[in-house]
Amino acid sequence: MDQAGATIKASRMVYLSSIVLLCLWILGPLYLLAVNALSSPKAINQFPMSLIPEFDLESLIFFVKFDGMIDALLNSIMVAVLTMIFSIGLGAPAGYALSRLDFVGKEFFRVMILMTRAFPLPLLALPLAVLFIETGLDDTQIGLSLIHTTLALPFAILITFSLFSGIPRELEEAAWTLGCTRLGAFRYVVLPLILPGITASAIFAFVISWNEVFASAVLTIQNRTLTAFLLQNLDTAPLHLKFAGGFILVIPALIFIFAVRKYLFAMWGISNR
Amino acid sequence: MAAISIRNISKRFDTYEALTDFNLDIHDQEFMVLLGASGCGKTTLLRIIAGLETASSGEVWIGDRRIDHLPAKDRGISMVFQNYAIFPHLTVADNIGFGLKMAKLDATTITNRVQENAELMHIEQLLSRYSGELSGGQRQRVAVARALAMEPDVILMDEPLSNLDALLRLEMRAELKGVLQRSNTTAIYVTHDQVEAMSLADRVSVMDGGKIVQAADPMELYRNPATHFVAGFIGNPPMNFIKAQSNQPGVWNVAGIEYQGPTTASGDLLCAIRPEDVVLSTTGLTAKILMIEPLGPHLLVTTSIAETAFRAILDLDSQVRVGDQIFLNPILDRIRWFDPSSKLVIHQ
Amino acid sequence: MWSQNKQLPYVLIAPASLFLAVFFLYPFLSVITQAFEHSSSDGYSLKNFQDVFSHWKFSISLENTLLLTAAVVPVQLALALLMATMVNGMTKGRDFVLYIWTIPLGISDLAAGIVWLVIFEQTGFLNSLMMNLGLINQPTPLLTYQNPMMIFVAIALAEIWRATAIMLVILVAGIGLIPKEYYEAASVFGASRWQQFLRVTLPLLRPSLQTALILRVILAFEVFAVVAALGGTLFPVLMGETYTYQFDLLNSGAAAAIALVILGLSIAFTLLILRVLRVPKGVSI
Repeated sequence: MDQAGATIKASRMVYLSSIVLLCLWILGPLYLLAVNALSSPKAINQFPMSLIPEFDLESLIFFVKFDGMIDALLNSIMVAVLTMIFSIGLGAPAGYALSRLDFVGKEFFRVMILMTRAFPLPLLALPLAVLFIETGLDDTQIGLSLIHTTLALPFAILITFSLFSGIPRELEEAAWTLGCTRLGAFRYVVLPLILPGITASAIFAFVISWNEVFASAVLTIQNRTLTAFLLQNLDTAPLHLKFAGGFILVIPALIFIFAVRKYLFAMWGISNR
Repeated sequence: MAAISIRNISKRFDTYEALTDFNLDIHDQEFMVLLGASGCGKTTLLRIIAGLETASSGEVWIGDRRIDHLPAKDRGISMVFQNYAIFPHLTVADNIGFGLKMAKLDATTITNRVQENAELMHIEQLLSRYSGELSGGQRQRVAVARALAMEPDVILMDEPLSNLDALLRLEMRAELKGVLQRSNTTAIYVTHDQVEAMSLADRVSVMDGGKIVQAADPMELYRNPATHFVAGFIGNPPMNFIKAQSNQPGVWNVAGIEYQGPTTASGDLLCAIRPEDVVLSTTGLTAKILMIEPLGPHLLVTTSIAETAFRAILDLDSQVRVGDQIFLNPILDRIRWFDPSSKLVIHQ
Repeated sequence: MWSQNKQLPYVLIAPASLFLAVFFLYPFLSVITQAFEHSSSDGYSLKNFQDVFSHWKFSISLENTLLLTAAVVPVQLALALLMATMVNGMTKGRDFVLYIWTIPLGISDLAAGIVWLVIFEQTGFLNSLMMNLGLINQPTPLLTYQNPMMIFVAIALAEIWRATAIMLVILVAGIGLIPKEYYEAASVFGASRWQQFLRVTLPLLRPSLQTALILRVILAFEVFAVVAALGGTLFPVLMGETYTYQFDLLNSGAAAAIALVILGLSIAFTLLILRVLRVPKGVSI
């Protein structure tokens, strides 16, 4: 091989091995977490740690049986589902209006949405905690999901805005000339085309809620979510409990990110502009 | 009866006026072409007729119904869009049948009409495909089939051929003309391509700046353009213009040669001659050849006559070279005269 | 226009606007007023801020937060740029690699903290590795108050691991917008790959760099759960102090005061980044 060829081959090797290294960097710690979660409590506390999991479900079983854990899991799921519904229900119409209609205050509305991202949103939990106590929403699934919706709503609006903008206006106009009302055109033409994207942003809202820690910890006591539960037990919980909890936290996220990977760039890339 | 009457239509956008007091009557089953450059208002007018825009003032009538306040779906019109607007999530069959489904026709009627119109546009073998699998030309046929399947009173077409390549455009033009001639539909077709306009239209309305400049059948536009604008727009290459002066009534000096011209005008006029209306000769206008372009069927020769650029179309076997001084003799009854300030034609 | 109801847009944005007015504007204003109200006196005062600033933990948590941000964000920026450039040149396997690299986006910061706990814990993998390499004889507690450096490193690593993907996604989207023709033109005019990166990629990436940096810096000031998992009380940060004041000490005023400090820092740095990375008018792809 001549000199140029050798250099190209060498730089290609460096390129490929860097990619592999970075993949291992991401996956490695997750694997180690899985190892711990799938080992018995004894094995976790033994030293040195083995890299191969025993596939002992004892830690996970202990986790699930731990007092209040199932409830915490269910709370997390419920709150996340409510967040999903609220953020899409409120966000999609706004996204449509921004994309298709011209109105006074449009730019203002759009800038306001972008500005909500500048504020550390979990801090909103502080005053809302007081409001919730007064209105009886304190420590409820609905209460927390409303805060999570505040977190997810700007995303939902901007994502649906870019989804609707991606549908050419001509398609709706064609539907109008073929006998559809405005609503009919939306139902038969626009909706089927954005459904995958809306589903992805709904899943994204779910994940945002599922992962949120600060507000959950501040606002829930009896009806703690999984994140609140883990946070508050960080000092006292045994290791295998923490690891199993972390594992449970991570798994849905892995699946969800896989499901929405096509839309990740639309969501973050465009919604951040 | 699907005669269309456009009465005093004006359309104002924030910064400019797209249409000003526009009036046009289109006969039942006529093929009317709206011809003009971008920004002349032709697409705005089409969209107003379709119901996709509202006019600032004026009325639109189809037959004896006033329709300008009706939603698009109730006007009895059908539209073919420039980018086809084929629904990507539906098959070709479902696309063609979409309007029929909205009209709640029964399944058998829908299937039959879809089949009929697919065969009409030669796409019956594509019925189960999706738009992503189709070429541009095929999508265009689906768009036309979908519009025709509605059996509308009026079919509106917004530059439907402009996104096709040259050869396909030629084929589709012929097909469209045939299909629409056989149907009983009034058609309004918008384009900036004067060849398309000449080929397809029963009548052409040439538009500029939101107004009609001239509305007539193609040959009339070609032979007797009403303004300088129309003369330069129709015909490729466009008409030539040479300044002419008159010292005696009826006699005009064009680049040194005298021709019979309008007796009612005096001073200066523009003499207009088409490139194809001159003959290489031993007498006539003196022309110095600047460039020769062999275009296949003939030569396009760019010359200079009295320091004005003048294009001529000559036989392929003409013995000419760049730099030659030649004589071009115009066909006398094809010469036209225009007023340089009002830009209108002056009749003899 | 028959299809354009003048009120339709407002009807559509009303629910979201109302919601945000109640759940964002109201608490936002509430935090601001609460910060200036103190139980010991009527009316507005700066007493909350005085209480908070004079506490020994404040300067430490401020310092820690800023230090962590300063250590982590530049590394992440460089790493995200590198990864985005690498991915941009890929054809086969691009989707797969991108999926792996964006997995951390879906991982809660608490979970990320726990993940790295697995490594740094006393009986964890780092110790096991060092044992197997013969560097130590017995498990050494790494995350203790005797090893502040270690704690900092652990938290920094966890943050880099977790949050680089946020910048990565924005940068990949931005790089994808740069037409290949610009690189081709540059190489025709003699630019090497590195020069192309400096002269074509970076300048055209400015808007995305702006967005990525602003977002990341704001999130960095809010760092909470990762620190809680790995350092607990050994590494105070601003957000953690806010939580303690609110939840443990039940002092809403002080919590609000720190919240405003975080907000102030966010706004200040946002303006700074906007200024430093401003895009000249008329420059676009």
